[in-house]
Amino acid sequence: MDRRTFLQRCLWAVGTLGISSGAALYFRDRRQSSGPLPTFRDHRSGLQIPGGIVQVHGKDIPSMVEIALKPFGGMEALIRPGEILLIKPNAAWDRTPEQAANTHPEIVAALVTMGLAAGAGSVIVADIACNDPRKTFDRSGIRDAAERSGASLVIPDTFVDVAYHGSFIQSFPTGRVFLEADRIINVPIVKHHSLTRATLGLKNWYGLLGGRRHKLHQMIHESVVDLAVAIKPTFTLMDATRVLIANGPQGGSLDNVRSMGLIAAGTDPVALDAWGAGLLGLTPLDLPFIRLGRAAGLGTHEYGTIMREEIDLEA
Amino acid sequence: MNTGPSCGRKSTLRLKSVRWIYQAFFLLLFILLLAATSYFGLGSLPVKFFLEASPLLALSSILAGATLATGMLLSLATIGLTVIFGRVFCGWICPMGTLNQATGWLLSRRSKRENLSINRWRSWYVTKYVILAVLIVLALLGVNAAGWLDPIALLVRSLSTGIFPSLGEATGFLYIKQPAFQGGWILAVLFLAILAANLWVPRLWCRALCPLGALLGLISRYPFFKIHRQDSLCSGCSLCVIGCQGADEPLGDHRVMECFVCLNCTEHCPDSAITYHLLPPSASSIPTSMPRRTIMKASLAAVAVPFAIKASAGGTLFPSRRRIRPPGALPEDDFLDLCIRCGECMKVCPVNALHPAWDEAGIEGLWSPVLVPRLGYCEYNCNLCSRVCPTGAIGAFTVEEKIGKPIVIGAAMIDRGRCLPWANNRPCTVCEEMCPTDPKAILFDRILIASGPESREILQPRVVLERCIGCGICENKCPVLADPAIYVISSGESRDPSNTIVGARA
Repeated sequence: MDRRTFLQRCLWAVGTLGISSGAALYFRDRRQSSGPLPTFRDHRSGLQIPGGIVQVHGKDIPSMVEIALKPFGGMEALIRPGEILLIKPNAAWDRTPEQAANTHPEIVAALVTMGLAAGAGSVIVADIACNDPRKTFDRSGIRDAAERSGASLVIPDTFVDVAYHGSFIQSFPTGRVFLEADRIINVPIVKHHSLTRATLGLKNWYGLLGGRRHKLHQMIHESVVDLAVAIKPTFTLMDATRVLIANGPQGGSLDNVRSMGLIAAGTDPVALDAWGAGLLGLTPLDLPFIRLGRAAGLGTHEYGTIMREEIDLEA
Repeated sequence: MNTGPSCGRKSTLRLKSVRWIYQAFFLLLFILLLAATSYFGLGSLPVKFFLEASPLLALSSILAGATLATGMLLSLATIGLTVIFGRVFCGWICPMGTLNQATGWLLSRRSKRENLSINRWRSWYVTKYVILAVLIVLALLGVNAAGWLDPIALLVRSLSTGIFPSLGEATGFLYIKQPAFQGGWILAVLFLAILAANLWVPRLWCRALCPLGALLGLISRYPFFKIHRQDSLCSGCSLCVIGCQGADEPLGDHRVMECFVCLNCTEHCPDSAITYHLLPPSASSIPTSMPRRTIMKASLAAVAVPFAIKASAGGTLFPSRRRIRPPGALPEDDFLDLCIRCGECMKVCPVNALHPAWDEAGIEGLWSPVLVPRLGYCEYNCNLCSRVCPTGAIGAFTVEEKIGKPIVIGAAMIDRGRCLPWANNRPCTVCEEMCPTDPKAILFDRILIASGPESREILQPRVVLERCIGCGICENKCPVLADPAIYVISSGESRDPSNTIVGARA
């Protein structure tokens, strides 16, 4: 081998090694970097939203939503122009709107429309379903509602460990999209749940989690409150237009669905959950997560004391 | 573009380029249709197109199952094409052939002299006819083995369970939820080995092994169009062999049954002696001489196989408890008669529940679909697998039928020694929450636990076997790691009334 060949081969070797190392580094860099875990920001910061809750009874969902927000200053009070607004419905199950397992799509559509009208830079609708997310968003009508009204529907596919610093949940894999929003509106549905007796607003934050989140069921009340303390939403609007009163949380038979024509809205998540528990015929303080949420300073279970208005559009 | 008269070619677009365009088109079509075999893609797209075009799969379905799905009549078109044009399917259409050809072309550089020798006929290339004979004998005896080796089924299966998931993992783009298939890497390696064989002999799979190629070879004994060499023009230079795909030797007596109609010889001939001709004037082609004795011996040996495999543990006589079939699957014997192990159902399953069987269904059921609930459960409102099955092994059903009848695929059993409320007095009941039936097939009993001065209530789950459909979501979501505390067995499946624990359903 002469010098020229030797040098040529060296160059080839270095080149090959360089390219393959570059590829290896590229793939390695896609892993999550170490460092302090992210946390949720305060989605109410910089806003002056009046306290209390409001109850609206009616049939026409868009106007119910509109009226429910009015005492708080309307959607304009919840976001600033250009901000990213995230709507978090309960879209957990591959069920139709009539089966009352997921948030009513018309409520999602109304909030998206109002958000865009109020100048939101973009509106995202996202949830992490228990069933297949594509089927869930389709059958629940929420994909159609979101896309029809101009939101982007996101099926979270990247997860980051988020610090919750709770009594039970220290950190947990969480859909990244939820961290990217400026404002979050929680849009849960009132329904029966076999283990916790009710699925309401506080428990809706389960839908942000990836990983094997079902292991949290062993300390479900503590977990629910840990999440609710760490995730500070801008606002909560609770769907009780029709209520699943048995065989929850996914239902199936329409025999267990009661049409109630109600929604409630406000900034006190404990009061709203207590209100929902009342609809299911439960005593709020019988529900451990309401007791724990109250103890954690999230709000009051005596929702009647902070009820600002009870509006009946049918009257 | 050649314009000079010295070139000897008149057309501006060379045949070779036209053929590559066809091959690229069909390969792309194949990949797009396979990618569309998903929850989002299933609309009016003919995702089963290529599988339905395979006469081998159709023949095997008729012989083993005495039935043919309507869509598979498409294979008649392939037969017609072959009768008229010869094995154009192999040379112009088959995506497996295109991949083999492209791999050989990309990865091996051979000198002119090497090409002249490697593209000559070898006697062992008749192996494919022996394979075909064995597959036909097995099919007649009720073992549908064609799918293991049919190139289309093989390609669909390998890409769906091995190659696509790997690419998805590398790029992060292909899937919403990255799937993983049990043993998918083995199927990927087998497929890559077939491609790698092109380094040794170009298109080794197509020339020597492919049973579909063998079948088309038999059909193309007397095609209307074939390669014709005009002896008066031939200078005997052998250059026609240099790019010959089928090793069919246009230089002497042309082995017409081996010809892929790649038409390279017509271009490489400097004397313009070779043409692709409608009913050429003289009979210049010879049939491949069949290895009759080998075929006879192999066929006789194959007769013993079905009895041996059916009597093996895990086979149809002694089923494994983990042999959980997709909803709508025919009774096991009929199912295996028709299932071609193409993996379409595994590809389309939105929750990655269906996997190629390894030991779950006996050797006869190798790579047939089984539900592995720990990896994915059967989605309640879903019938996608039945919509993509090309042979009807998974019978057609609507979502309403699936829920209404209901179609049962198994039954869940609780392992009280592992279940958190039973074994550890810890609250859980995730299985009950997930159970999709109404009323639920998993109930819980409220048990008062009294230890020391305090007592508390615990909810202990219990399966109502008459209501359980075996979807496996309970096993899938069970938070007990390693072995789950609730698991599904095939017992209770609708398709086999004898496979039951509780007798008649409620």
